[in-house]
Amino acid sequence: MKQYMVRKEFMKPNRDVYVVNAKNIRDVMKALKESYSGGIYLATIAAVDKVKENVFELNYFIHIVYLSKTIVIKTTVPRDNPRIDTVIDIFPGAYEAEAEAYDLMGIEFVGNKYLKRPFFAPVDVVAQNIYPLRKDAPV
Amino acid sequence: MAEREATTVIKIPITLDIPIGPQHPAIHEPVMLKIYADGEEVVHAEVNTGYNHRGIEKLMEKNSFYKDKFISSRVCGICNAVHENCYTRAVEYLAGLEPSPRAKYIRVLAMELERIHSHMLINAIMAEVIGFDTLFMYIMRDRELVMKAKEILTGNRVEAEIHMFGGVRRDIDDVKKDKIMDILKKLEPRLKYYRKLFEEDPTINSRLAEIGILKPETVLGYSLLGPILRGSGIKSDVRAEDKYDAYGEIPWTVITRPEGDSLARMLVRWDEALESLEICKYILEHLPQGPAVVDERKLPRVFPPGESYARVEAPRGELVYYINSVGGANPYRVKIRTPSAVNIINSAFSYVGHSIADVPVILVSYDPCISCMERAIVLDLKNNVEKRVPLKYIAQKKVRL
Repeated sequence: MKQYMVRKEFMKPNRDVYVVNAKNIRDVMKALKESYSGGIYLATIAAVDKVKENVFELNYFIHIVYLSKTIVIKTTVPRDNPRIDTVIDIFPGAYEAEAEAYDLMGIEFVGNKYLKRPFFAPVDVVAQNIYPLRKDAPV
Repeated sequence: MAEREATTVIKIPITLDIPIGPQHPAIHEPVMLKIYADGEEVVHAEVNTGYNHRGIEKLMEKNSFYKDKFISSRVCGICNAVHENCYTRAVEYLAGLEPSPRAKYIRVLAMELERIHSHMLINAIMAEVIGFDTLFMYIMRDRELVMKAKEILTGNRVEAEIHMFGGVRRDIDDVKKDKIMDILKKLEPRLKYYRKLFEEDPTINSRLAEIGILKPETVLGYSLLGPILRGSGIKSDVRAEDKYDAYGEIPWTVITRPEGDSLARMLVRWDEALESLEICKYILEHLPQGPAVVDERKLPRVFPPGESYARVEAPRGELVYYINSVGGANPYRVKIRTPSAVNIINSAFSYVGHSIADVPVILVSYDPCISCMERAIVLDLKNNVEKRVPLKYIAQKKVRL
């Protein structure tokens, strides 16, 4: 785990945040799953559109049942090419989170063949190619 | 070239669509579950969503932290108190606010009353789905007692609206306390009776037991939460893990059952309702003295930058709020992950292999349905023979084409 970590941060109230490089996301998830086998689930993926930094930030919230603890894996993908490897084969529970991030934020999870639009967004929004949760989406 | 080489043609002539979704007649979730069945056996299930997406996350970005409190409690009608609790605590973590002990107890009381009526509702629906309409009516009648208790506590029968940053919005006096206690005493024998009924009645047992069995590792892999997780023997409850509000001070136990079937999930719900009843009684007897209601005029209008991630044990499982603030009056990003989203969208795999009649049962033990029937005819062009085979044999390569 340490070899992939860029830096460690902290999220309120008591969540440890491990910032990793986007290209290592699959290795990180595999390492986590192996070390806590049978007692870990992916709670959700929260995507944040950081317009100023020109990136999308992805927060993977992982809950470790043994330790009663939630940790956060944070990574960023460039805004003009929002692509990241999928983790759906490692955590099948990522389906809902990845489908939602793809539909509402436009982040493509490479290797996830179940992604589709519209998933949540209405048909007319999808027809205009708008990703509703992006900061530049018209309201 | 290709045409000359073809020796087999597969025709799929029968497609029987039964459009029951997106509004399932039995339950409130506007989701379409498309079932592909081979005869009676489900071979594939698909979940189609988007019928009720209201864009609340975007709406919350456009409104102030204060208005968002009222938006968050309108995400879900059944479990509105847990939504506002989760949002309120996420903001409190950001701003460094701490509610008083009395306020914490009142919050827990509101949430536990909600858990009782939510568990009663889903059990009532289960009773209706398996054909016990009178039982449905009885459970719903007794559920009204809890709604009354909630009304006495919060002023509203459904929307609690009792949370505020740093405390609660209403306090309770001794008269209200006694009234709620009376209701809880009236409710207790009813809950015990229904629990016994679900456990011992042979018809309910044969309808629910060993249907939709989920192994612990499957449940974790697919991130299924709440009573599904605990019904498969995994001891994970946010109330015990995060000990938010007053849960660290109140004696209670996490309910688990090892079976992992639909019956186990329903019994976990009944046991949790009884456990919640004890929590409510304990709170009414041990309510700390002191202030509970906050002066909303003195609360900060602008909140500091930062990130927070709050978890709460909603009746259906772990509910999470992630708030990203860059400072100011509005949040920069709010991410809400409701337990139902995961439980319904990720659970399509669990219907496969069961009969169509079992789908509503599994569905209600976490939720809606639609059936499609497909079957293939294989034409052997060489010998001019036609045979009907189930699609699943083609998928499993049991039929040589």
